[in-house]
Amino acid sequence: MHLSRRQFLDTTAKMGVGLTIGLLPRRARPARAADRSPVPYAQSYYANPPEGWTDKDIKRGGTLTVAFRGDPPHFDPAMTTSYYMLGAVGPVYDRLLRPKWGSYANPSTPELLPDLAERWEVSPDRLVYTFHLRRGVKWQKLPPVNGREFVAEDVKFTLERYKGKALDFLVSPIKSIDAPDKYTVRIALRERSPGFLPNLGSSYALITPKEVVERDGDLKKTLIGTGPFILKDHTPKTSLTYERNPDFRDAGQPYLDRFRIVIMPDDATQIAAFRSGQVEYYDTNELEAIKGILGSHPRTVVHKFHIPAASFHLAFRLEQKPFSDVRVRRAISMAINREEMNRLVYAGQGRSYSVGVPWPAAFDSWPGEAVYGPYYRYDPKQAKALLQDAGYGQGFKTKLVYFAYGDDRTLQSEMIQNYLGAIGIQVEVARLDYGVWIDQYLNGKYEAMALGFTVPAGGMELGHDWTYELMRCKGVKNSWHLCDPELDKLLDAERDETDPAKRRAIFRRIWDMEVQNVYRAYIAQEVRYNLWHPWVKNTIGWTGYRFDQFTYGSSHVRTIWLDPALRGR
Amino acid sequence: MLQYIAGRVLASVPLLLLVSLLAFSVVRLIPGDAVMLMVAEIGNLSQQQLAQIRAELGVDRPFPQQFLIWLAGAAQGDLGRSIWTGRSVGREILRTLPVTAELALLSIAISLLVAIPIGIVSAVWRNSPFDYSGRLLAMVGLSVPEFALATVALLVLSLHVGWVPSLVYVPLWEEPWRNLGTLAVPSLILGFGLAAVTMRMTRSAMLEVLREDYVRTARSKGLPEIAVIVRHALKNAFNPIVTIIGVQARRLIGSTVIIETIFALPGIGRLTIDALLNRDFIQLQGCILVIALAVVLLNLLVDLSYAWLDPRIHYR
Repeated sequence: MHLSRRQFLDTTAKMGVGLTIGLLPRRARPARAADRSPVPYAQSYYANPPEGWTDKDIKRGGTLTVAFRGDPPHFDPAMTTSYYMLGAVGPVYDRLLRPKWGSYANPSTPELLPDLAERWEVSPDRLVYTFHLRRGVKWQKLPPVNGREFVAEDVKFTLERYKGKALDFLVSPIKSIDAPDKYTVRIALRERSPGFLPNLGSSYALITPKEVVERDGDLKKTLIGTGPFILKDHTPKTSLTYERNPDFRDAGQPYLDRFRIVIMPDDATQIAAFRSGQVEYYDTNELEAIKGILGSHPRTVVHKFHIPAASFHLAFRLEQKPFSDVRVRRAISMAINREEMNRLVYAGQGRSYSVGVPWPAAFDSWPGEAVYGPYYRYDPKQAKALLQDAGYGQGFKTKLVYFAYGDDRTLQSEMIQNYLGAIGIQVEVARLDYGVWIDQYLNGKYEAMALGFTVPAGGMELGHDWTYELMRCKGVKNSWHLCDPELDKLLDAERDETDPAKRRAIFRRIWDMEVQNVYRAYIAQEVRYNLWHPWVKNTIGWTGYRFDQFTYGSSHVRTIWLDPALRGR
Repeated sequence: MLQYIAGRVLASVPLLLLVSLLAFSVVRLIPGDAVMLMVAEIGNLSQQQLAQIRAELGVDRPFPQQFLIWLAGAAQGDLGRSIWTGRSVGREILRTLPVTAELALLSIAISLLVAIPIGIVSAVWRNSPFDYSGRLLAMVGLSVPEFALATVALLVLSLHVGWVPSLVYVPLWEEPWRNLGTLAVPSLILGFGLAAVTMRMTRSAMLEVLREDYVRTARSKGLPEIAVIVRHALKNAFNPIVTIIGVQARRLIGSTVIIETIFALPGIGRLTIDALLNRDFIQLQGCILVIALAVVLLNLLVDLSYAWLDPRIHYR
């Protein structure tokens, strides 16, 4: 073979370049661990997306300190649904299943993984669930449980105890629970319940020991679990300190030596504590606060929630005049300028249209503007014409109540007051105390309109819970007094449908009915941010409702690790 | 004197009863209850399930029955158990009271250290630049609310000084220096607000006394000016100052609620506000009773101090 000098030099150069590129150091790619599989659900970051890392990079040890705005009232998961309680007990208890955590977890649908259950089976009629438990799991070595083995009777005891208490929603579909042997639990349901399995994987469904209940009557004061951390100290209204459980079933976890929750009710205090490094996590929906922190701490990692836990809308008393008239509801919807609301309230970082169930639950995404239909277009002239048609040409007086979960709710309420004022509807806005709000909103006692919430995430199964019980004439969450027999038929059909594609199609019909009839008027959607100091790694749990976020479960703290090399920089 | 004290203590019993009854009634008139808050995130419990939870917590009984049960316990020193946390109300108060007491004492001490010297000098050098500066400072102290001052202080310290006191409270007997470091900024803020009123009162009381004949006599006898001011004028000006300190200390209880919340201090102010927000009637009732008791005792101490300061006052 003849090789000319030019060909030789060309070939050598190409080989050299190829070899050099091949030898260049590459950015480490995340390992294929359970919580870091390469499913491409990109999380969104407002600033400083974290670098990739592998298992070899994980550093063990250190203390992670986070601030909660409130103190856990007690440690008994059966007696309250307070998320401060969940955040405090999450690192200590386990559950049968858990969602996949981490930056590659799908933020709209929980992918259930084994936790205390090794595997599970569902009968073809979806009425019997059989869980095969992990063997050799030990309770923490604290009296009165003293490190005994976790068995099927513990699951039976826990779930039966939840009956009639604050967690009744978890167990209400259950007809019977059997423990045929030490490591098997068989649960029979009264009727099909699509939300049953994901509810068992939620941060509420914690498995608790019976000895403490037998001794104290409840679990309010004593916290003993099978989980990765042991509670060492609780000073009410000050702090909770946890240490790693040396007997945790996964020898590699948790990575931290200690986990500390400090109680700081005030936002300015939390920011000051974050800036001074006294706490390593801060949660907000205010872009200005983030810009301020990034100004002084430019390396702060700012995780923007892909799908937030709650979505707000304008709820009406649908059975009462004038809201029983669809033209009035359509007029109200068309009077609201949602783009402007997003711009003014969320600095344009939120979404112009909030969403309820079933869209994200069924379609795994946020709906595009087009699917909201004609009554979500901002058109005050058309809104006035609709009011005229409905016999309210002179407008009317009404009331809007809300609870200030954040300052954004106050701004939104005032903007709604102005928008409706422009078409002749005079709105009296009342900000309620939390106790009054919960009583009025959840029990459907509000006078006319409320800035209500729903839960957009959780997949089709949890979506079913928040659709069926919310929209059915006799639904237990139907606080807006919605009753449409045609809708009821669709809801029953969705519950009984097993084919995902067909269920999705039914959900789409429910959605179309909702936006056509404006049963509730979606408004601009908030965006939430979690801020972390750069040395805290693997911080994302599962950001959907009822699952692992900080202050809403905290179980994923077992996979968080600290890089001390980054702390001093 | 002892007879007077005994009489005052006995007279406070019906007052405390009235305060308890009023608090018990008024709080229950507010809509919303502890059970609804406990299950707030769920909202799909039936009325039957809610009733079962209410029965377990003992809040389903008629109001008079609940009040009498509580009263019988309180008479025996048992203030009951919190509906929300299940913890002993008495123990919670004992745990939080020292934090508030320490904060209040430090604030009063700071206010006196600042207010009395400035008030005296302002009165002695009336209409001087020092007097004007002192009065301006007092106006600022009166006008700026504590919560605004606290928020600005945290912002300035964290952003521009790069130092923030430890925001996690530790008891004085565990880590004294860290405890004082944590309480320094909140005490300074509360003390500054208190000092404004005390300083103005010290100045006006001193001005009045300095015009008295016996002060002129003392000066004409050739006593040193410092002796005239401290021994003759100040002691006689103290009665209104002590009265205002008593009034201020009562106001301080209200201010601590906000400051304890901002600086994450586990005091009785925060315990009270949390109990109110959680509709935890039993805890709230205990807190109100103890705060009312503290105010009654404080009034008694102020009244008793008059006799010590002014020998012309006698108690029968």
